[in-house]
Amino acid sequence: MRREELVRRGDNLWEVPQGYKNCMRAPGRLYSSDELLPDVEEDCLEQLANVACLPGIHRYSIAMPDTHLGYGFPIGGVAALDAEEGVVSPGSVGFDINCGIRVLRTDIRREELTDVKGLVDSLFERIPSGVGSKSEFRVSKDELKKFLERGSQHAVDEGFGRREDYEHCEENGMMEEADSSKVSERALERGKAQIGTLGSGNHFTEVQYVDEVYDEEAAEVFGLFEDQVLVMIHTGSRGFGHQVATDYIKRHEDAMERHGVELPDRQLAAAPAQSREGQDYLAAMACAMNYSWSNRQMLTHWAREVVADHLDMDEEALGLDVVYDVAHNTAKRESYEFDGERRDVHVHRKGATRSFGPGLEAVPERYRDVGQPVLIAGTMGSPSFVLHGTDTAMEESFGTTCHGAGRTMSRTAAKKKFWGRTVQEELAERQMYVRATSGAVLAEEAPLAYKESQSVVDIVDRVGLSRKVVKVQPMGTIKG
Amino acid sequence: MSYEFLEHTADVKFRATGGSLEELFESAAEALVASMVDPSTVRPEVEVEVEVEGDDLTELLFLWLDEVVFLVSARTMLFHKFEVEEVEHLDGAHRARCRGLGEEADLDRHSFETEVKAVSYHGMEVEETDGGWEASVILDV
Repeated sequence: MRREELVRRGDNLWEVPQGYKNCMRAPGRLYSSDELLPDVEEDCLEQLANVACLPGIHRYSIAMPDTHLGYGFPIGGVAALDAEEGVVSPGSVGFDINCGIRVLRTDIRREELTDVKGLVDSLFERIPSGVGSKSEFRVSKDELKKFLERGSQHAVDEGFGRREDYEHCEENGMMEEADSSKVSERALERGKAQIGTLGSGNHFTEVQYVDEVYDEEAAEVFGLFEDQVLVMIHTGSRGFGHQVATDYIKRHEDAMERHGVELPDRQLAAAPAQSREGQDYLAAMACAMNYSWSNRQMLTHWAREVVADHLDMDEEALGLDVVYDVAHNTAKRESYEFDGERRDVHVHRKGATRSFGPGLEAVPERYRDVGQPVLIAGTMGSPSFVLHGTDTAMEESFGTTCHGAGRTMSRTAAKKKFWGRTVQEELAERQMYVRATSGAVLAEEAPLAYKESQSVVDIVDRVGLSRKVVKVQPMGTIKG
Repeated sequence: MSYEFLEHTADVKFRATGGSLEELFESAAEALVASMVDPSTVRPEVEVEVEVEGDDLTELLFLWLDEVVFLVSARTMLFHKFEVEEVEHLDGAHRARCRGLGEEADLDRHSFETEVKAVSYHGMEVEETDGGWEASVILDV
């Protein structure tokens, strides 16, 4: 779709008219700005229109300001599909199911952390990172299934952290729908090998400090203050989630004809939510979500040990608590009102963050007056943000906001353009220490290969899909 | 037998060719490994045999590459080269008997470019050309 065919609906809102394609069951909506719109690929707009063709879609398909071309479904895309009459789409959720972000707070200030390099090196030693790294935590297949069915809660039962950790986690760190019998042997094998590892690519663990507080009141509720040291963990469901996605995308694509599901792009691979394929996928996807939460829980535990050890203080005195944990790349059953009628939908969020507003039961009690903490990761070397969920998001975007800084340059192009070592040196000049297993990863993830997170966050703040609470700057990062 | 990497925004894409189907299957697996690591740094010490069966050639190639991703991911194996013995079509089913020669990944000797996490089934097509066979493949990294 050509950009000129978009209809402007506001300063930061554009529409793909429903008439653009015959198969569209609703219009498409894009949140953007004059500055960012030229970066949105026209193929990505086409994908936004294709998503609006999914059976059972309510209101409109949505793309967030950090949107870019994805596998069938745009990254930064959202669609609410009717839980009874609609489809579920493994292609839309994508490969890295519940790739997500967790933030730990501390009670220490930036100036108290004098040896960032030493801390980052210790984290790098402790957290298995990079391609081919193996977990030092060995699990049997039966043991793995417990992680798949109970997520962070099982990890805590096994001694990785505490109860409050999962209580401050989206879904309390556990999807109840999970059924490990719906997962292939191959996925289990991959899962066993990689549980408790950070992974590679855009995944990281970062030591950060709070640079700017936008909303004192909300910051206090979240336990955040200026110059405070934080630890951010960004990882997903590793090879396990990718295998679940691979298995089910294929199965759904093969079954599309039988179910009479016609889509403009087969990559969206979808089956009726109530069909065997649909139900099995939801149960398997929930396992991948739980795997990811287990993973972040284990990394949390190790990061805590490393920080406490590095500063020679006990964890309690450090106040190393989980602020929150958000999931990207999911399809979750939620309920919304449509023309006065309440209906259950599967909200598909790919590269998009839930942004539940104040007063909802799904938001931890401690945060309920403010809304859910929304964690947005910057790319290597650029700021991250904590925001809070809003009523506007509940009304406009099925409780959803952006997820970070979208890629503007392909991995291959970035590798041609940047050298890992140069990227590392440039970041060092800005007082930021990066430790990675491979120069190629550093080049692929060079800050210039991404849209700036600040401009993306400013848009969602302006339109009210979430509101800025604090801005966070990186001090040191470990990458895969 | 050869392959070339093509430009793709988020992922890795390559085109593999071969004079025969067997060669095509070898090229494609080699391209997959080459996107991760320099195959010349991998020693051909261990042999892994794999048999796959699919409804058509595209599915067969997908299952073969998915098997290679699995071996790298779950068994941390790397490969120096592949030998595909036979791609056959019998009783409506396509079968391939393949062998990978390599070793377990050693992070001190193998420098990874990237991690292939999945093979995209969608968009994969095996085509007969004047000189033999050709396929393009997208990898999720």
